[in-house]
Amino acid sequence: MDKILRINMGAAGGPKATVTPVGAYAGLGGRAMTSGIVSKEVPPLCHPLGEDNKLVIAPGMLSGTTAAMSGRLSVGCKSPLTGGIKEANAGGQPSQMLARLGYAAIVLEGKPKEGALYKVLINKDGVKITSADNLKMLGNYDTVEKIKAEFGEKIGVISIGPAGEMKLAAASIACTDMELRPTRHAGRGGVGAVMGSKGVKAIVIDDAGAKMRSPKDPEAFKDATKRWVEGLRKHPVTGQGLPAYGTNVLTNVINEAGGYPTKNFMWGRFDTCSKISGETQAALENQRGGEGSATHGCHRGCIIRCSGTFYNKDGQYLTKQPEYETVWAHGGNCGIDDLDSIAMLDRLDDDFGVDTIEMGATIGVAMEAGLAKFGDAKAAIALVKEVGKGTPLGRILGSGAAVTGKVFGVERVPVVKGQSMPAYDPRGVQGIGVTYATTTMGADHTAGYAVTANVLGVGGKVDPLKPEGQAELSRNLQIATAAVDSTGMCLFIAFAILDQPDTFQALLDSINAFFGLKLTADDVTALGKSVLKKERDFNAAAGFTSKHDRLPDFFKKEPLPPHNVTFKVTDKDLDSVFNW
Amino acid sequence: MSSTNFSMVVEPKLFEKFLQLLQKGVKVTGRIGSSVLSFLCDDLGLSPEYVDKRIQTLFLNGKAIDNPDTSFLKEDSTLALSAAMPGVLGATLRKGGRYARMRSEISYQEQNTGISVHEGFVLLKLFNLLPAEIGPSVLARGIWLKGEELNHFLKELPDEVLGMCSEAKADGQAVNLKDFGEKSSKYELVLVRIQRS
Repeated sequence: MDKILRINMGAAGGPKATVTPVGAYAGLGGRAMTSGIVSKEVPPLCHPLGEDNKLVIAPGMLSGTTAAMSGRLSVGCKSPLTGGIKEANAGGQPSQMLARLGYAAIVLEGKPKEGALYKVLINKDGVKITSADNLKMLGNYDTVEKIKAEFGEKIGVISIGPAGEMKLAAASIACTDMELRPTRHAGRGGVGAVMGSKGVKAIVIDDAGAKMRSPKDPEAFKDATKRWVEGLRKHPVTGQGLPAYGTNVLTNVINEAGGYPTKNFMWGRFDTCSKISGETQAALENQRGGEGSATHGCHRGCIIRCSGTFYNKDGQYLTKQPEYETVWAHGGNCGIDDLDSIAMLDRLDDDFGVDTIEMGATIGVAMEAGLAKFGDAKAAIALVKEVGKGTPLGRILGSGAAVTGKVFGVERVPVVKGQSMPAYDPRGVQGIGVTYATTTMGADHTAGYAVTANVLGVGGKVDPLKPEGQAELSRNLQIATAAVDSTGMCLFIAFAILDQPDTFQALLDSINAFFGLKLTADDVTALGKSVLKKERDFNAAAGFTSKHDRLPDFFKKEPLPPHNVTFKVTDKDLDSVFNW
Repeated sequence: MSSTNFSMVVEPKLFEKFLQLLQKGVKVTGRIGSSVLSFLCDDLGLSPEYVDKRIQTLFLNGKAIDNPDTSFLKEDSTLALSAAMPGVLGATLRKGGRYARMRSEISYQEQNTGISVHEGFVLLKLFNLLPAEIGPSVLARGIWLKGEELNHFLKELPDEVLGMCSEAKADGQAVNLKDFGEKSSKYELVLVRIQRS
């Protein structure tokens, strides 16, 4: 990965591709690369859909190698949803393929003439940009089918659906999985709208003739990756729980804790949640059978395999196994307890190209506004279809929960910096609320997801049972997460690292053996801090202040049943998160 | 309170259906006033090592438990158990974990119940890997279901699955599973013991 592909979409005479050496960005990957380029090259006050914004697509540091779990692809830009810096990432095949072709990043720049739509082919021979008029306003599934017909099946595709073309703020970017289906999405922050503003419908990656990336020290790398795999396989979360039930195994537990946001964050428990739990979902998928039903990876080299394949009642493929956040957003958050309906909503989201969390939260707000009744799955499906059709109502909904709440006069709108909250109520687990409030990304559970702070030695020793210090814990988690996001590793590796320091050492050894480095845990921590600093500086220059690092008022005022708790972390504590 | 004893031996596919009931919660008997650890080891027969290593996430009446030895059962307490969970929330909710203080608002605070130890009911919920691992012994020991609940559960099963019962007895007398389901509504509670054939 020694080169960067830049495509000026607004060049005279049509889009112009230039390949440059990686230069000052050498050694960066994933989020470190996207936030590095965006913070340095994008004017913080630019319009997110304007010519000065850039869309950066970057494989992780170890993508394209034999290291397991290394296939996350980061996408960065100034977000049209939050107005701040954004990194969203996805699984699927494209990250590994881009990395094997030697690209450390693709940067889409400039702005094409109005209405122009292109597809970009990247292979070992170079880059070819052609019209994509025949793909206009197609869903991601039809888009990929047409691309397959043209380029064959040994490709990877990064694409947008109609939501991205309409530049809606909830638009996602789809990455194809092992079966060449557009099921893996860089969902958050409206990155799909920025790709749409660049006039790029699809990036087709053909890595035929490209080789696996070679480590500097092959023997040490082989040894380290072997220990890495063993560590992941022996841990009960990464080796057993996630493969068996997927992330949706969280539903019952979060519900039991009283922190499962129900009916637009009105309650902390959903009475019929066992109908949509991971345990029930896996049983249903196993009963229906089919290839990759309850246990399936999202990309080659994934050994956790937390995903699956959802077949409908007739045994026909419908969508990938909806994950916890999706099942919650379209399920409990909307009072819906039917897995088939939730799977249909997931399919529509993937096809139109919208973030499932943002859409579920938006439908919840719309239900509170009276556009549909809580629990009415048919109405929810009809509302999401409005987005695909691009009706005026659909465009409002496709702009996210904050816009929808404003348009329909709803006070209870669960967003921070304009981005919808994920599936944990911050009143129950207040440390998560600190991350929601303060992350550079807008409300985002994955911003503080890497429970590896102990191994990284961030923050020293803490007493886990003392209530004080929520800010400190959130800070440590955010630093660790920024570091893991930069490796291109799936965040789920964190659980094995939490309990097995030797597994973290195996990851570190893999990176060192591959690049010929001598990184320590301190270096990884420093990387996380540097990423966060760049992002914070960008947001400050874009106009963000500490006043934006707050949860909506209702979390402080409305007690959440059944525990009847409110969010109690003080503003002073929130403002201390980034004091390091 | 009207009740009856019902036992059955069923094929794996039907047994699976009963295991799925455990995530919603089933009543089991236990010593009210005892600690959660004592209940798990002495009443349910789990080894202390299993409780320590495998049961990483516990809730008593919706509150996350950090120490099962100093958490005490009351009459009709709800006890939910899970293996280690993914996600930052999973790490936060596990017992005594590094991130436990992130959920201090919903943590169980040790209380001296002052209750003399006696037999009573606990609503037991099993999540994640635990239904498969300890569910069979819980079902064999016996679960208490409302008669209407049992009837509803059996009614929802397809006939082909209902037919996967090789032996069914009510108060020691052989019965037909489907017939018993319909009759069970008249009982307030039914003690159901299930074994896999």
